[in-house]
Amino acid sequence: MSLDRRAKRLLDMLAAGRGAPDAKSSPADRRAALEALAAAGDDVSTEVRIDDRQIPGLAGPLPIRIYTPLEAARAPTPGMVFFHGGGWVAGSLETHDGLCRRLCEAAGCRIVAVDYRLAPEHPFPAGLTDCLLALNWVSNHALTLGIDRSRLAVGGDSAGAGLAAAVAQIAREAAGPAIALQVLICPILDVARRTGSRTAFGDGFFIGATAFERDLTDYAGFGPAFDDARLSPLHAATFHGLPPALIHTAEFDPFRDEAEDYAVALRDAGVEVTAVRHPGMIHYFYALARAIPYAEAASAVIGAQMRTAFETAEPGETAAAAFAG
Amino acid sequence: MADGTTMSARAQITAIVQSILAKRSGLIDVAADQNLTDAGLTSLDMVGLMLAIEDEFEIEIPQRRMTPANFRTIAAIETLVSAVAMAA
Repeated sequence: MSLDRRAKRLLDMLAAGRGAPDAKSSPADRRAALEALAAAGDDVSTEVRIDDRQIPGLAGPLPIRIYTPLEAARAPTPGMVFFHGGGWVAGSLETHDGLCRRLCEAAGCRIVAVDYRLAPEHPFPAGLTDCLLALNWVSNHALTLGIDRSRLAVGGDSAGAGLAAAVAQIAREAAGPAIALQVLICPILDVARRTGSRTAFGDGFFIGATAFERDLTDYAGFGPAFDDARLSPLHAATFHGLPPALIHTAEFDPFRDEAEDYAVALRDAGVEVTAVRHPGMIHYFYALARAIPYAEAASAVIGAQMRTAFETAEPGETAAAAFAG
Repeated sequence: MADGTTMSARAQITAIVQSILAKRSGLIDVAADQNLTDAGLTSLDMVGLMLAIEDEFEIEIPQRRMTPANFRTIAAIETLVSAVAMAA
């Protein structure tokens, strides 16, 4: 399939904007740019209940945002701890507010979005540590949050989906908390890859290879090996015992192949996987609903799949039990 | 009438540009003939600007008009907006 008309228009806009000094832009500039893009390109009209609060973090309070479906203001629901994308350097509770609202409503579940610390001020593994901490906190406070702990998911998009996959692997090693589902939207799972979709869509498809390398260097340039599974979950020693996965990719996304490889690796290990490739779409399309209206339809699909997965999640089944078995 | 419309469009465009620049630490005042890239707008800012312009004026900018030159300055955007609006 060819590029979606609206996705192509967005890329045309990006091309027209090129020549701007991205390569030397500061982290603050990159964050502001993503905020500006989200403000102009996304739609935050989905009505859900929102509660901003802070939980104890390693380096001070860790902000979170809790989304509650209106239909279930008082009833317990499944939950998802959500990690936003933005190349470990940018992104915030605001940039992904529209996506979280849509998923909250479509999936009928509470979502706890985590404002984890960003690089380069806080390089690897600070962000990942915050994500783990938030998952533990949500799991421990599930009852008061109105979340059914046996139906708790982790999820994210882009770099945040890579964090979610890593969190699921670490929770498996640590034998908890139990994760019923992992929702990976256009995930980055093999950071140093330079083949296939990375090459085919490495220039002019929303996130360029140069911009990505800069983000990666800021996050992990002086840290772990790039094939460390905490950074590249596709390089895990084993995929057995990981939670069921929803993996959504975009046809024209540089990170498409590594996500689809992850789906295969999980399936080969006996993990239940639902994988969807969105035709004609580009990286980050799901968070730009005003610019690319198909994002609404995709959110509805992801939400419906989450509902189904939560319905079939077995109460009491834990990652630890599955791993030991 | 024509002058009033022109001023109003320029004010609207300037307000959009300022709202994007305001999120940065640097320059907030921007002249109509000032190069927006020099003023600190990145390529993602430019996309946000184009989407906001389309929203504000309820137009769809055709691809052939989506050129860096047409978004170089507030004055250039103003010319673009009126050209697209006239063609519609």
